[in-house]
Amino acid sequence: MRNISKSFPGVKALDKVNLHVEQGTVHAVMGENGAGKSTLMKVLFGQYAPDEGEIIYEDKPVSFKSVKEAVNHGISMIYQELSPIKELSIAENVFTGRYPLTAARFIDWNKIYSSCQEIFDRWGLKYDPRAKIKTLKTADVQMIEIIKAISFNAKLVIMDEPSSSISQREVEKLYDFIRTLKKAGITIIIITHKLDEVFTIADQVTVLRDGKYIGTNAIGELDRAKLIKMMVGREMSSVFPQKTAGIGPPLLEVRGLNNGPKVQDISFTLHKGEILGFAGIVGAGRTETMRSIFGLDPYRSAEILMEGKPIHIRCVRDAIKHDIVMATESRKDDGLILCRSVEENIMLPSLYRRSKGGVLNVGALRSTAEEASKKLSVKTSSLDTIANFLSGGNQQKLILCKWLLMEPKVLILDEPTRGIDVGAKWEIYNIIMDLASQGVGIILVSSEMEEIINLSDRVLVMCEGRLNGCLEKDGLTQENIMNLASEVQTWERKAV
Amino acid sequence: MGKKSSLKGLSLAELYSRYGVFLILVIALVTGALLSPAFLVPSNLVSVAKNVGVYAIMALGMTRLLIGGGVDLSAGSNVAMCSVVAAVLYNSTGSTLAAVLAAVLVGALIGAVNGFFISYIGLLAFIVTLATQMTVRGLAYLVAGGAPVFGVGDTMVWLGQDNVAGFPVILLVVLLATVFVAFVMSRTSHGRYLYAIGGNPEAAAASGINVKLQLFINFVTMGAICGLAGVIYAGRTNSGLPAGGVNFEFEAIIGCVLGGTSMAGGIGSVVCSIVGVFVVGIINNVMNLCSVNAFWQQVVKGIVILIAVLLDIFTRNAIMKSTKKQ
Repeated sequence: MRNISKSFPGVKALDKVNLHVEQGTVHAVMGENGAGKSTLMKVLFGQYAPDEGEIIYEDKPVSFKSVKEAVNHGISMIYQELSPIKELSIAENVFTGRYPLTAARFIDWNKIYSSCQEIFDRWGLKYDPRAKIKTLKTADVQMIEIIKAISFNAKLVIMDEPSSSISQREVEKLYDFIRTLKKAGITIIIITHKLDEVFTIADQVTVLRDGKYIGTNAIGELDRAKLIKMMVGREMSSVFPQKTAGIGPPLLEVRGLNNGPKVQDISFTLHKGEILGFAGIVGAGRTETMRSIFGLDPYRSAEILMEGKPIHIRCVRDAIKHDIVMATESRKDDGLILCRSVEENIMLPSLYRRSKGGVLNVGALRSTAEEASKKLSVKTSSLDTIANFLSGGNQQKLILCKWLLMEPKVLILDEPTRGIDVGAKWEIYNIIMDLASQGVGIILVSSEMEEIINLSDRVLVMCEGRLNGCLEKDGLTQENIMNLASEVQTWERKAV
Repeated sequence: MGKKSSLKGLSLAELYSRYGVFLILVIALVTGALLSPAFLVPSNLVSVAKNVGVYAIMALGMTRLLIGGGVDLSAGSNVAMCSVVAAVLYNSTGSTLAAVLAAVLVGALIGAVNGFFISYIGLLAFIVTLATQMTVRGLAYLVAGGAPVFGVGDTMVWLGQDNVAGFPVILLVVLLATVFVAFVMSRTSHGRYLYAIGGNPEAAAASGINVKLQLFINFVTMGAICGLAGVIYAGRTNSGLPAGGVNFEFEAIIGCVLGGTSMAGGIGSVVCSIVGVFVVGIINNVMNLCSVNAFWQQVVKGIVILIAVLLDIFTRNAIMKSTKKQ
């Protein structure tokens, strides 16, 4: 791929990006979130048409207009979110949409199972084609997806973060299989931001940053430090807002929080006026931890102290009563009622405090909502506008609005600026700093390095459901965070 | 921003979903008047109002359920059951008050059973209420002893059949109940919670709402409303009819959907639903006046349902999928 550019309204996702992949190698594409990795792959796979540049495949210039065309040329893609049909058998999943038919146009079941068995035999895999997908572990489902991909006679397989949802032990299985594929002459492009992964299986690495091509190196020419430098080495674009007040006494203390595999033995202390960052790769358990503290997924065990007093949180209302609130990660999934009005969304959590015997004073609600939305300068044509009509940034402000009305002492922000434009981001940064200056304790879960480093007083890094390290202001670098986020460390557990 | 009208920034789809049914009502009235000279006369309109009274009461509860993301297919059976309970109680005690209270209580109890399985056990409303539809129907026959129970006393008959100053008593009950439920939906936290839950249950839970409790309350209220509808039904027929009320829930649902209440939850208005019920009643009435064959009437009603559902999808899509940038 040469000089590929692709723009979306308002963003230049790819800017003259090159990718040169040798046949029969494992080629890693690396970069931070939003670096353009996925977009580049979608261009290659025929999902997006590039604005400029050309794709040369097997010495011939090509331009795939659809996924089908790419598949016909022997290119397959495995997405990060797996999409198996859980109730069907392995074989049925492998052959979805292209079942072999009998002469009478019925599905040839014998052929499905026997061809599937053939493929497994050929690759030395021990799965029962008749077993249902739901009986398999995530890692095995991943293997089936790969089998499905190569069963299209794929010569080039693109894998989007194949190990993101697999545990450390099972990952070995996946790597072995990737090596087997390589030996068979299949070319593999693997999108990842795990450093270990790259050094374990990749032959070559191409790094993207902010939609720009940074470089391609053979793995032998690189070490960890060099690779991280390539991925993150950028100038800060603006000056982040500063806090005007210092950090106060302990506010929220969490000791030994446990809730399933994604939340294991989490302990930390949040101080008044402190911004405590939570970093980690996607799936490290940060959201799950916060949901446990907020009562959305009631925790199995924990000792929680609020201003020195032990409290119990069994449901969201408990957390709210103790002045702990959380702006959830996804505006669409659990952030807003998109089909309802701006005002209803803003007032929803605090209704119970503002009603007399359940009856609402509509006029008072309106003026409160008006004031709150003005304070955060939510841009909307009226308070009756349906939330879905607002831009992403304004929707995010709406979520902040509804929680700030509760006058919280602890504000948990889960990815508060995901997918919103730069202007709105800075407005939200300013709001966060204002709140911290007023003494609100803020937990900031974010995958955006620049944001978490510049806003946080301290950053806790999570990896595979555990706290993996704590970085104070002086050690707060992208390199350190990346290191802690990408592999489990034997870390001296001290009180943080 | 999407297509905007000048009216307080509402989009066309929002306007339709809020006020479209009034337009349909006017069209139905005009069409009726054109098709039959006997339509637009007071006595006929009064009979339309009496005919749709029970559906209208049920539609109040049904709108609340649909808004909150539920549905109740057992409502018709529940109405039959409550009419039987009212009749049996009146015949054995002679007290109208006892009869009405018992009917509402039994209705609420049936609603509580629905609500328990749907809200706390997590079963689908569609399936649970389909099951209770049959169970309650059977119980109604058992309580009634397999045959209609005649005689429910003057008060209930007055409620179901008489007029006050030319207005059917049923219509007055419907108006009062509508005002009350509309108030609950727009001016109480419970009402706003139901809209939020129907719109996005996860977000509602993340906002500190006890989603299960609110849904449970919603089903219990629906049951109690069916109890009231059962009393009126008993009054209209001067009996408790274990075989009555069949498909009444669908009459209510059609009215709701025609009134712009979304089957997918989160969007709707009690007042519009009631108007929707009246529109269906008018369509029935006009077809009767024009002596349309009963079989054709069913065909027409089926088509009306389809149109109503298509309109629902159209408005919801317009509201939820409108692109932010043009």
